[in-house]
Amino acid sequence: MESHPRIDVSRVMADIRRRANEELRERAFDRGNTPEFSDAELFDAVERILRNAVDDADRKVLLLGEIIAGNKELTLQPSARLTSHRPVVGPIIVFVKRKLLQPLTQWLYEYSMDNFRRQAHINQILFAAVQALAIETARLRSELETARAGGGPRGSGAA
Amino acid sequence: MKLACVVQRYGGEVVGGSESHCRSIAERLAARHDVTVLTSCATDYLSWKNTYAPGATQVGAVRVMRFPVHRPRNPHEFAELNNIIASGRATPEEEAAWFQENGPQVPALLEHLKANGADYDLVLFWTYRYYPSYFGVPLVRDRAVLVPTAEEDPVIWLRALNDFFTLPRGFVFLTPEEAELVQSRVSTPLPPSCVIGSGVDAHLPGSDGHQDSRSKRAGRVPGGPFVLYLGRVDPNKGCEILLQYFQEFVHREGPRVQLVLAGPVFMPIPSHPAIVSLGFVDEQTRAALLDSARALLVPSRYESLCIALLEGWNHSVPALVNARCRVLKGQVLRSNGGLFYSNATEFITALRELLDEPDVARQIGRQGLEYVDQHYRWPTVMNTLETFLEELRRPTTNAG
Repeated sequence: MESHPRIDVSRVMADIRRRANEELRERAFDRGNTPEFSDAELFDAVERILRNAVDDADRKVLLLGEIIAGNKELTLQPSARLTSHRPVVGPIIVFVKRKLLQPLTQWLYEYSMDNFRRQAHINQILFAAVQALAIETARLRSELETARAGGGPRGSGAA
Repeated sequence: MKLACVVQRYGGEVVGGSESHCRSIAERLAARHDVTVLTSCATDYLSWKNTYAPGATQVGAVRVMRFPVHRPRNPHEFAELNNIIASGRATPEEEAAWFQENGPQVPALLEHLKANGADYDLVLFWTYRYYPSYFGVPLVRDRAVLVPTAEEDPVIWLRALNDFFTLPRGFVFLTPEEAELVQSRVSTPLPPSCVIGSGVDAHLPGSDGHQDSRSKRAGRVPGGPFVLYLGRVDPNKGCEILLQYFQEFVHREGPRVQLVLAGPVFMPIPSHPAIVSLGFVDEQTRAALLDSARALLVPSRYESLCIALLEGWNHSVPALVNARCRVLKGQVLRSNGGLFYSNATEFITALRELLDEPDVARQIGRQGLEYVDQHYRWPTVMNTLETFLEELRRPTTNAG
């Protein structure tokens, strides 16, 4: 039986990612009106920060989300509970809403829900990106202050 | 061993990942053990309407006890609870209500476990998210083995699961990534576990009849080069994004390849000359498609194990999978049997690589087949599972 040299997929993927990033950078530079991306190293650093932020965004406890959690004005309330404040006829109103109005407006409800869910997901990703940038800023500020004070930069030595 | 397998639906007519997995395992366990399947009378996972007659029956070598669904699912109530769960801010009461409403509500099955659970050496539960498992595991926790089939969807983050996942005596996982995900949900080490995946029967080229005659008979396999998607065509399976990325590929590269979608359709398919939707296909057409496909596309974000991926590798087809799904990316990296993407540009570049470098693509497909040969043949899967179950039973026997 003919034997074939084994292919290491992670090496193939590293090359694909490099080419994909280069293509993305060219498009972002040419059509994105972002002259900073003429610098390939800078683009790679930005792409890395954003990608790391977005990867696992669903798993992370995000500071911004926690800070605004108690603020009802900033909390998505996608669920539409059918209720009535009227003491006697309330149950009848809820019954009518549930049996008549809800089926009639189901398509709109489902359409809205789908978009609410997407919006919530986008928010989560944006919170993660903001958090990653905030960490970068705080780290750079700290290094700058150390440097200003006459010492060498401290911390992780991040690029 | 005397074993019970608890699953939400069971039967030849039932189509579903975890249900098929349970059935395949139960039938094979029944060759050497006394196996009883405990399940509902439902076949439809949306309504949980009773279809089968309640009571004991024999399905092949397996004794099946069916319990009636007490109340079908209320779709409005369930949709509302789903939205609350998706918001990540459900109260403990809403979480409990979600597990109730997700169903199938079979209180008689729970009564059976309460009264007779101790008669079984071990009780295997499939899929943590359904009523029989969620409310059944605590009743027989000293002998409960959970096959969670967990995915990274919003349900896995419910707070009620922090405690629930500490209850079973053991876990059977489908992939190492699933084990890692469930471990991340509890603060203590998990009970003993094993990773088995699922078995795939070896595909012998030509075993389903000569390919040309099959294709002609089926008349559904394109003559030109094509890439294949197998399974339910559904936005929840990542198909919306797949279609978008593929159209972008054709826009940039020209019509050099077709995308064939083989599976029941649950979403609008754009009218596009390079996209062919076949709807449901039988086993022979499926095999014929896999024999000719240039690559198998797997765009799903949520998987605990992807059988279609294993099927593709069984036919030496290289895969292109969604890197945002840890399970798929992990499978591809372990096997060296495919490439992955996390955005449109990577999708296009990776697909271009598979089409432009046929020797590389063929070798990647062969590596996928080797991986399936090593890990996903039934004797290997059952040997791992039975050794684990024997080990798990031993302390109970000693203590008892």
